[in-house]
Amino acid sequence: MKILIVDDSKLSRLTILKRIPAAIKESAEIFQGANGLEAVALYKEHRPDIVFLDLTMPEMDGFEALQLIRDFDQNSWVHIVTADIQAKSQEKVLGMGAISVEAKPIAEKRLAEIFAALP
Amino acid sequence: MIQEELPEELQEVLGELINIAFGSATATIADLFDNFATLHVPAISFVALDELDTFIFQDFNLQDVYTTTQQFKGRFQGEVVFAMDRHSARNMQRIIFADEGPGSQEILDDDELKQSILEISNILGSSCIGKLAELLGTNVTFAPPSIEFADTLTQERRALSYRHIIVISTVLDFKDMEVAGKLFIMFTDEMFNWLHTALNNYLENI
Repeated sequence: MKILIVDDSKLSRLTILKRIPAAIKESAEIFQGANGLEAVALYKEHRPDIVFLDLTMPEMDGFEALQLIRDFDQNSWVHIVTADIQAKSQEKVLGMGAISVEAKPIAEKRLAEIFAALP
Repeated sequence: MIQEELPEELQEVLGELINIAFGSATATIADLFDNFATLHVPAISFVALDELDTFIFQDFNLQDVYTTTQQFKGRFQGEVVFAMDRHSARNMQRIIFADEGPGSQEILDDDELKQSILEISNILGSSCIGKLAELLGTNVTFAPPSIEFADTLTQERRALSYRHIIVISTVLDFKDMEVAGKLFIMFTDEMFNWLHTALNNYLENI
């Protein structure tokens, strides 16, 4: 399985990384990016099975990156992990095709549910 | 001061937790007024009490700045100060009264403006500090906020032994207008020691 984690905060990437179920982490290829531009480039290069994407980032934000990823691949599986928990932000990204919006910091149990629900 | 006394990795943890807490606070305000704010990564600085004036007045004129203060109590305690200029305060008031019909956005008087500022700073400060405390495994209670003159702020805080100040500089970027402000979180040496331990615990238990 290929996993892409994109967040400008190293701590937030580490939080997701450490909380991915061990059984999945053992056999997964994990890629990390620090902004929306890197998210799009890494997605196109590796075609990950699942993406964890922050919204508030420098260079290119997660809204734009999500749009570009969805334009590139309508079957992309993107979960938003963000501090921006505004109702309108959630509506917007879900309307753009994100699978879910998760408030930071994401819980280990929730991550297990997300992986269990992967198609 | 935090910058010298807190290890870099814990400064990063603190920065990210503040980012999460401030995002939560902004969302509370935006949702409350059925608006949408584009969130920007807040700039976080650590300053000493002697530098507080410089930080407030480098962006605001003395005649134009409104500062509100609110004390918080608990395992983590101190004071949160919010500063914004008149232009941003008026923008904030327009957002608050946007749904109340034609003419409601007219500014009536300075007292009404101050009430709006108090309301917003109360929500912003308590949501932000409340969320930060929650992330650090504790909770806090809040005293009612009050408006103070910016030029006496530093002087009066000396008596309270606040030696550590975290400054969050941000823009609440609403659809048609911006509200620029600075949030100052002030606390004592004793609270700095508590914060140091709490950040270590957070990092160890990710």
